[in-house]
Amino acid sequence: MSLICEKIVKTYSGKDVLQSVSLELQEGKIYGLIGRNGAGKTTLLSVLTAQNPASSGSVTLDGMPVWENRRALEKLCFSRELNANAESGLAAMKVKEYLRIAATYYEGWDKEMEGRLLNLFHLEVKKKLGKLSKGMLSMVTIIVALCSKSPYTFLDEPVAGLDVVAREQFYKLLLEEYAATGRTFVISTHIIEEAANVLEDVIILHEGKILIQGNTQAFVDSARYVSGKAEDVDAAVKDLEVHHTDIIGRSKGVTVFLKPGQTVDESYDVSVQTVNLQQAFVALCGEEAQQ
Amino acid sequence: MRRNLRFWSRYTWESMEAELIAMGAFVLISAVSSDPLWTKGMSGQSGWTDYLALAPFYLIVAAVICIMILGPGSQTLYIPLLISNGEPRKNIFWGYQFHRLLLVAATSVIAGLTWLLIPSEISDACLSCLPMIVTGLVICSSAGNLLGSAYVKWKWFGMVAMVLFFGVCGGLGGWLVSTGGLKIPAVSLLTLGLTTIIPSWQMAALAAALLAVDLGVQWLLLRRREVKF
Repeated sequence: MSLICEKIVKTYSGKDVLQSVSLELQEGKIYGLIGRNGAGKTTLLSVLTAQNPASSGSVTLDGMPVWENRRALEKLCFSRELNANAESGLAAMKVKEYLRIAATYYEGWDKEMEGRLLNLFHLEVKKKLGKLSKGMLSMVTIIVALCSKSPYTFLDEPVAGLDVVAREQFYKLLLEEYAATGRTFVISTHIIEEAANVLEDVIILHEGKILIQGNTQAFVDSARYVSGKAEDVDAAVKDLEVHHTDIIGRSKGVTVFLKPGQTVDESYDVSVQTVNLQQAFVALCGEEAQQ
Repeated sequence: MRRNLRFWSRYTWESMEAELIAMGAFVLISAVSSDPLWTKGMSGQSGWTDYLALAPFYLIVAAVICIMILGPGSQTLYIPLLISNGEPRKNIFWGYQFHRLLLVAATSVIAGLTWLLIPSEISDACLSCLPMIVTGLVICSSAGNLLGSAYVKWKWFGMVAMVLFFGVCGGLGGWLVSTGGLKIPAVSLLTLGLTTIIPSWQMAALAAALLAVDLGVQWLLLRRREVKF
């Protein structure tokens, strides 16, 4: 089973928020969807799960169109980041009512797990969503995502507002669920380094385009930070894909992404360091720094 | 579709609870503010008979208010919530119509049964105009829903329309209370008067037209609806 989107374009007020995005999500993986604010992450997840219509392009699950197709939709769950403002009416809804509606619509809803997670997160079901903190709202979205038991589960900023203990609990729960069921999870997050260990594949979205989709470790392994005197650095990284240049006086640092078979020429007087996922992401999507 | 019907049935039941609570409040207000003499009877029978025969009138007033409020509420909250739970839009559309139908039917059946079980001059008059009452409820349901659609599509226009509409309704309600219009004798006169004043075919035509516009607008909006919580 795989979820495929082809040439997705989503336009808001004449601006292409998603620009011909094509993607294949295979079964049994944990994907990380990362990108800067406004990159189009939530829009992409909304389109993939038919919560919002695409301006053009197609989304299929096992060859079936997802749009208005109950058979495909029941295999998907997008637990979106909740914004319980008065305008949406969610603020007045109680936690138990929100969960009851989700339980009605997800056929595989795990009631036992719902109770267990409510206890773990110390969530009061009689509280209104509008009275919950940002972190508690994230807990509600995590409960919906995990208890839905949907083969493809999408989480939008699931750890937003969570303290470090709750974040650790979430990653542990996610890995337990993944090990037990082999469900596919797609997680959009800004807390990249923390999530890096659980993300098997990474998708980097930048200004509505996919820059990278592939194995997280392979992506991180391909990146190097090269620093030294500007002329040495320039010579060492000649012919390599250079991103994110830091210039401090006469010193220079660049991040390079190596293709198979490529290496940094270390015969020059430069320092070559490995980078982590967050640094690699910043190198790809960040602005260049110059002092 | 089964779970969809389950959701909308439950939502209708919760709406009916709100309706019955509002009816109780109206009955209480009218009983407290009425002249105690009315209990001696208006139609030569026990005053309590007239009183009970008028209770469905208050239920219908409560239904009108609830139905008008539920239209915008459902469109801004429940419909996007169900989309986000992976329900196809066409199922949501039909489920919502089922909820509206159920609400109007339940209100009409409760009112009709009450009038059947409590024979009086008022009950007879009300029973004879039950089709008109049902038509009136359909008009309110469509109007409330159109207000909701306007709010979803053109937020500020919809908001102004709702403030104006509910403001006028509130003002009218306040005026009725302050002038004794909610007292039992006044209500009974109003109820009896309604049966003779308004020709039902005009209401039926208005109801059909409003319903057609409402369904068309709602489907057009729902087809391209975006979830934005």
